[in-house]
Amino acid sequence: MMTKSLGSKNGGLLRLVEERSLSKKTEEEKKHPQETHIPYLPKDCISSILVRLPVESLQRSSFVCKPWYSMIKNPKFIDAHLKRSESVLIFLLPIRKGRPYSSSMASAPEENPNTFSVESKLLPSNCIPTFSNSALNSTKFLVQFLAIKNGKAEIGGYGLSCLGNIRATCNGLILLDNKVKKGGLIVLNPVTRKLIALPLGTLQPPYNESYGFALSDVTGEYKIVHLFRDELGFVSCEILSLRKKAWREVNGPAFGLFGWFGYEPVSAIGALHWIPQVDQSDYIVSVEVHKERFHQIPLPKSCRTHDRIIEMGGALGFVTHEDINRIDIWILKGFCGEIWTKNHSITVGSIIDMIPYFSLRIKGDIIFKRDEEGTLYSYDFQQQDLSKVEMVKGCMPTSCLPHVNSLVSWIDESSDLHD
Amino acid sequence: MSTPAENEASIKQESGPSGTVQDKPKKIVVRTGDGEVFELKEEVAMEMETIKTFFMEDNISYETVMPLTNVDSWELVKVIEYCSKYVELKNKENFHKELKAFQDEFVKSMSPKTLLSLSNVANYLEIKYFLDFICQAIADHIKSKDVEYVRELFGVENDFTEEEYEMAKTEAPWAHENLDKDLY
Repeated sequence: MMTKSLGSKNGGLLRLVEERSLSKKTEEEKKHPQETHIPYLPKDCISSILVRLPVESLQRSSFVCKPWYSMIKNPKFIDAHLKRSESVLIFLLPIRKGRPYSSSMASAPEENPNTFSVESKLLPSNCIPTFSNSALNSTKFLVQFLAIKNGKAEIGGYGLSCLGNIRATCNGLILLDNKVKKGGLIVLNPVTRKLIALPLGTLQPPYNESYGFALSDVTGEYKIVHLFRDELGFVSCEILSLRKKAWREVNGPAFGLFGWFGYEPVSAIGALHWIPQVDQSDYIVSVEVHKERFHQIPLPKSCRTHDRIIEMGGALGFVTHEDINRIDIWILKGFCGEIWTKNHSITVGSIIDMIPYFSLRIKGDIIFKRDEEGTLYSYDFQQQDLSKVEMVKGCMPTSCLPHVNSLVSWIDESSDLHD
Repeated sequence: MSTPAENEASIKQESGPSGTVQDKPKKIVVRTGDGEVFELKEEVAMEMETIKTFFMEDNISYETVMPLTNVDSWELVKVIEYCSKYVELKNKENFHKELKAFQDEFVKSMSPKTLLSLSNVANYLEIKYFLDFICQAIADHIKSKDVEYVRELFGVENDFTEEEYEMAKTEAPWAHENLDKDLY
């Protein structure tokens, strides 16, 4: 009888053993066998659990006990968590006299007394009265983010307000105008609220400049690249490393490469890339983050007004409208000797007015923005399906930047001693 | 009821001369920490790196009973249940959908503390996909729970002083909102 039942699924033997062990316990214990015994979990296990938590839960978990606190603050852990975190869009919602401009429903976020003002952290407290006088004309903004989950947009906040514009983003850090110091900039992580004011660089009217924010894979330092055009039309470049905190002049792109600074740079394959003309760019201008050298990289075809470059799964993607019903995606995997290869074509639906926006770094979808309305669409590579993202009522923030919520800090933790 | 000796005997019976029948599934025998002996189908056992390494590295005969001292019998039952299902669904078309349905049922049947024990076992047996699944299930469970709950669940002490705690709290004031009210 034993031999026969061995062949069956799970084995009759197994079932007998299971019954025997279970019958030793009560009904209650069957469901919760280990209630009385708290399992000792090795650090690896705990780390594997915590790395899967959303960022707010992670922050909360750091208060559980000191070992957990150290684990969560460890840069390697933060990096592992960053790598698993999905892209969101970060934007500013204007508030006027305590109420946000978007007059839509009760769901519109309000500034409440708990809102933390970025500027307040930049000023010594006795300066505030004078400051608020001069700031009377400045619009205050709530920092918010938009996450796309299951085809729906979810808006979240940080309980944070600021006066300035977000210039660039990188790995969860944002580059913000410093309204307290004219022309100045701040680097801030809106989740941890750690911030640092940067020294003044070259001052420029906004339409004549562009900021890029990227991480050097080689040295692990965050860098800000500032491109600006002077009166003579020369495009100059200064770079600030968040480690050294000083601006350095660097050899800029060749004269005449840049037509305009209207397109935000894209960080991919160890460099920052700009589309330099508003229309018919035959090349992109790139600067390697580590070597700080400029290159002109030809595009496989001319970049038109509704085409864009985006970061895609570690590579640089060129998303271009081939004709009315087709969008081609080209990929460049690296700098040295690599060429553009056509990776995919999107042929669903009417896509002529879809502008590629960014890609979801975990799920892989490409998010498009529909030109006239500003509505968002998500293209799923597996399903080969382009679908509209359900938006929150009345809220379509205008200038959003791709972002990721993380606990990243620019501070060098040379203390890898504590594991 | 059978004794370990009987189990091994029955294995010998199968892999004897009649072993020329090609499709007889091979079995691997393990003994859990609480003394129970289990027979696993080879394909299921090989999903567990720890077992795989034990037998493959030194070419140990399947007649050897492998000791799994850190695993209790009820835990092994659950692991076998998951891995068998995974292996069964692996090459099917609706793999993701069916696995998800199975995962939801699997989690429902267990308490949080049980999940914690299983994460330990999954780690020890080195079953990557099972560990990923259990850790995700635990993370989903604790993500909106307050700090006290998490301490109780994991059996850790609050070793912060009042001051340290207040200081840490200022770092993330909004982390203490939007929590589940249910405890334990």
